Amino acid sequence: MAGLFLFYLMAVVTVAGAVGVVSLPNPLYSVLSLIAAFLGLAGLYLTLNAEFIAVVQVVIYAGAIMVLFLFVVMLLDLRREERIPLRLPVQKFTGALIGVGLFAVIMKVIFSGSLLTGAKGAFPAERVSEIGNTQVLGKILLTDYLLPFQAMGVLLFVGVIGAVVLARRRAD
Amino acid sequence: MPLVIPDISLSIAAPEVGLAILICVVVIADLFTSMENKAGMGVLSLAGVAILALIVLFQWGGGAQTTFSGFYIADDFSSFVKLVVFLTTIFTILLSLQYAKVEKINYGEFYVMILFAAFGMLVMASGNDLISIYLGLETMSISSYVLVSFIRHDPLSREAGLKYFLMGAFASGILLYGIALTYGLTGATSLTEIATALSGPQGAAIADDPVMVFSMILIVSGFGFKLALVPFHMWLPDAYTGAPTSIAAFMSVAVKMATVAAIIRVFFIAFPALAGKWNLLFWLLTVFTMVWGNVAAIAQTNLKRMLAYSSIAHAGYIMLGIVATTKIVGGKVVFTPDGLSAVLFYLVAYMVTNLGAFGMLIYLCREDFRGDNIEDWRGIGQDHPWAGMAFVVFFLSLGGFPPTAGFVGKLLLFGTAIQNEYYWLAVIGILTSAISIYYYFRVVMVMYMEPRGESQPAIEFSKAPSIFVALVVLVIATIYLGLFPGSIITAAKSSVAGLL
Repeated sequence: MAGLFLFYLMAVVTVAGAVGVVSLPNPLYSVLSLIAAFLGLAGLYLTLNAEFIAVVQVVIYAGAIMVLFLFVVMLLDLRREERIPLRLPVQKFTGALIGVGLFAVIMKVIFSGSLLTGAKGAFPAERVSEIGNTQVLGKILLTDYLLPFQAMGVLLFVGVIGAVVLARRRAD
Repeated sequence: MPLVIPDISLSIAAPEVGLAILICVVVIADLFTSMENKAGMGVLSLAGVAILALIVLFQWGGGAQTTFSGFYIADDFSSFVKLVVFLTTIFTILLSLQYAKVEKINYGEFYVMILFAAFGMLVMASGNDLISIYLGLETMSISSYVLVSFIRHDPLSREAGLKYFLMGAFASGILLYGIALTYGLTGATSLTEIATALSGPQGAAIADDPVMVFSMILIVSGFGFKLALVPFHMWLPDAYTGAPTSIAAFMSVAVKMATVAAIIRVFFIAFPALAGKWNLLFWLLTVFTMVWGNVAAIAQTNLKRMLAYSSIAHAGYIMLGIVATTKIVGGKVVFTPDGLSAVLFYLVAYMVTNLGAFGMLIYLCREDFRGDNIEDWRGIGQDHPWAGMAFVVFFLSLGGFPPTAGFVGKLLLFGTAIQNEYYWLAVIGILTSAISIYYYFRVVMVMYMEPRGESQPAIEFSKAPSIFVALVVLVIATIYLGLFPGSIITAAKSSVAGLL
């Protein structure tokens, strides 16, 4: 029961943080709100017995990357963003309506399914805590999940080069 | 927990390994190349990809082999897809070598990003697990976002990239949610293990669970976004119009090929138990896509935008083949490989045709005159009969006239649909292709019937030999596949034979 309560608490924190990121007018507030979302996500990982990932989430995302974000925001000296009025004011209303409708559908579906609960896969929580969280992850990533691990490396490489391409000054 | 090293064979995954090495070589070589010689990076990539294509050809006929703990599968189907991806890459680079200078995007990273996208497509084609397919899809998509917004001094290109990125990121999220729910129900991400779970003792209960149906809908929508099926197509016209023309050509063929390959693998191998449901969904999406893609194309005055809508319509024809593969006989689902081999042939036909059509736009493009409006082509048929003829050949093939590749492709697709009793689908398909003839031939009419205006700049085609060679090869291939489609059809048939 406590686990369920923690899940809902962390889920609310995460979603509220994410909503704050897109809706707050000042970019600095957005970044701070993103920290809340990341911390909530770390809490969610904890409720799933993934301690290592939770710590990594805090150290790398809420720590290192957020500092970087804050630096960029402060260096760029961003003002309050100008709000361009929507061409069709009904867009906001219909968007919200569809969003809420979709959310209701998802809720109904998730709660009507009976087979979603229970541990699945080769590594349920008991087994993981038996061997050790970090150990399982390290060994799995470099043996069975080697292809996704390497493909992830290529994906990050794309991100790095792509960011440089889009951000650099023009040569001429 | 003992460390068990799984059996990993790099030679099975040679195309991917080789492409990763090629990417590193090009990235490093780019550092030592001066701004004037960046086309050399294109030539280097071209040579590398050609060698890798030969490696894939050598792998052809080797039977299905899995490695990387079942994450990777190499069979004739994946080899077929990889060959199409490599050929598209080769033609894209040929069309880009001079065009990149015209658009002032002549950086080494341009070719690196094309190679990265191709890498993602290869991983998708060989993906035997939802995780590796997703990672390939994401590698392909992120490289495409960058490629679309590569003309950074053009606001249109930046806008296109941003729109594509937002929609694409959203679609990836939807796809991932579907994958997560599937894992929650079946405890597996491997395609074969999902199929085992769905056919096991609990299988029928899982397949009927509303969550399973919902996760399948999410996966369909996620792939639908990437393939730009109506109503998930909103990003495509803007993205293609703003993108560099050679990239629009690349995406319209290669991204479709890889996504279709992933769809075929995921749905036919992992979810045959749900075939009745996803087939109905795909049926609806196919009809919307064929109708709206063709109707919206009529109103376009920009050729790139018209070809973008036409590519939406063609995605509909491709999906028609996938729908027609499933046949329901007496309440039981039977897969007929004819539909899938028709899809593969159609994709090859579409590759040579559409690369050619976009290639014609690149042929006309120069620094002060982009030439992507329909009226820019006024009088070209009279003044430049050969160029006009080439464009007519591509339009004939897009519209599905004999003796071109597009005709054989549509014949196979509609033939399978009728054979498997999808009469409505075939009728709608044929009617919408009739609509498409209108907008393709409007361009032909402008080229031949309308004289060039006084104020219009004189026609001056690109003098780059690479573009000329690519276009000649594509025209010949379009007609050749229309007259002698046998070898490709046989190859397509044998590549899907081991799949179903």
